[in-house]
Amino acid sequence: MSKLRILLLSAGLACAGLLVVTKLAGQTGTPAARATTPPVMARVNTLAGQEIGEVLINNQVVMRLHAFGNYTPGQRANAVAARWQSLWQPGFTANDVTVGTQANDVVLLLGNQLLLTVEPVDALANHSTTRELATEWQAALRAALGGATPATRSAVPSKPANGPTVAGVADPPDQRDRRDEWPAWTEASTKVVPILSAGTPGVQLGFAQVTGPRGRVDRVRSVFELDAEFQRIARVKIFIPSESLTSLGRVQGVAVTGLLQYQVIRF
Amino acid sequence: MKQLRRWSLIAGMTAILLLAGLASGLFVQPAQAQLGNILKVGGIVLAVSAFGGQINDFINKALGEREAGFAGASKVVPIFSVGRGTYVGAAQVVGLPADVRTVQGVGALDLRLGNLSGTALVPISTQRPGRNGLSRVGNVGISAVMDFRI
Repeated sequence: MSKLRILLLSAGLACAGLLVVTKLAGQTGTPAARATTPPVMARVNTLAGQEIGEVLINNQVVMRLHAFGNYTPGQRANAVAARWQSLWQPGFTANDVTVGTQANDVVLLLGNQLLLTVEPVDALANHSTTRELATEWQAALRAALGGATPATRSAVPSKPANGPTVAGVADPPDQRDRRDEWPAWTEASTKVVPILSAGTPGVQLGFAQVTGPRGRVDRVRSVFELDAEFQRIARVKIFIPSESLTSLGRVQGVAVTGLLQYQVIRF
Repeated sequence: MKQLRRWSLIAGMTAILLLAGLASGLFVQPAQAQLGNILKVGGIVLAVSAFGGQINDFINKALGEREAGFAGASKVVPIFSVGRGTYVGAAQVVGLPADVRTVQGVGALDLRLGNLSGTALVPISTQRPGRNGLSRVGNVGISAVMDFRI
């Protein structure tokens, strides 16, 4: 009889032990964390003939990424989705998605960990600065997580009519009208043009090599330089690429890499 | 006795070093000037690194480079200029965003021969020229410079 009791007690203890082990196994490691992580997905899409990577949280597109460096849009979206999975902690809310700065780059943080760096190429596609885009993505992420969104922004991802843009962002009217004027910052070119320099040292004439987006470089016909020297202690030089030989028609996005000048007037 | 001898030796050495230091005032002064230059260079580079973003925004507004600012195609970095004196300061670089991002400084070579002068402006991807060699960044130019003689 006592043997039977011992046997039953052992069996009971073994069952209890198994239950405890199963429970503990369920509570530790990533499976439990994944259970509470808002569902994240990365996919590749095409907008206006351009391939983009989309990141979806709770089935809402929260950001659209473009190719940057050696990474395709899909690789970037996958990387963000993977980081989201690994960084998310139980107890996180929409307010844990914040915008920050790391080494002069604008970044999105989840908790206090880096989720992604906002690249200029994405900001350019959205016709905004990297900080503005980070704020847009933060709002879209918070909306997808069920948090509050800024009153001025739409939480619904917009479908662009003329070009790729970012989830939840509509172009401001003044920028929408200027869309065609934006240069394609992908193909660089150089050119040598005349330069006229004026300032405290005197007047100089010569040649300057300019570089920038091909479309803009082609428009440059001259460079004007303002040159100021303060008692041989400090100098200020400003280069203004112009689309005219005789007037200041500034061409944006173009800069100087070298000069060769002859001083015609000395002050 | 042994300890007294050791203290005497230390005191003697200290006195000799002090006298040598006083006597070589001429050599001490250049060292101070060098220290001043090092501090000046360090201060300028630190200021440019810390306030580069604000300086960049200011220049973009002042020069009407709004598009470059939007596109992340401009940045302010330290510039080191040699040739007609040594200058250190800040330079705004403009170019393709992916390349601008990698620029850490600008090296400038400024030469003059009579009335003829030439300047080469080289954006580089390291703030410490010489440590890992110079690494030139292409597709990037300079739109504004402000530097100080050291």
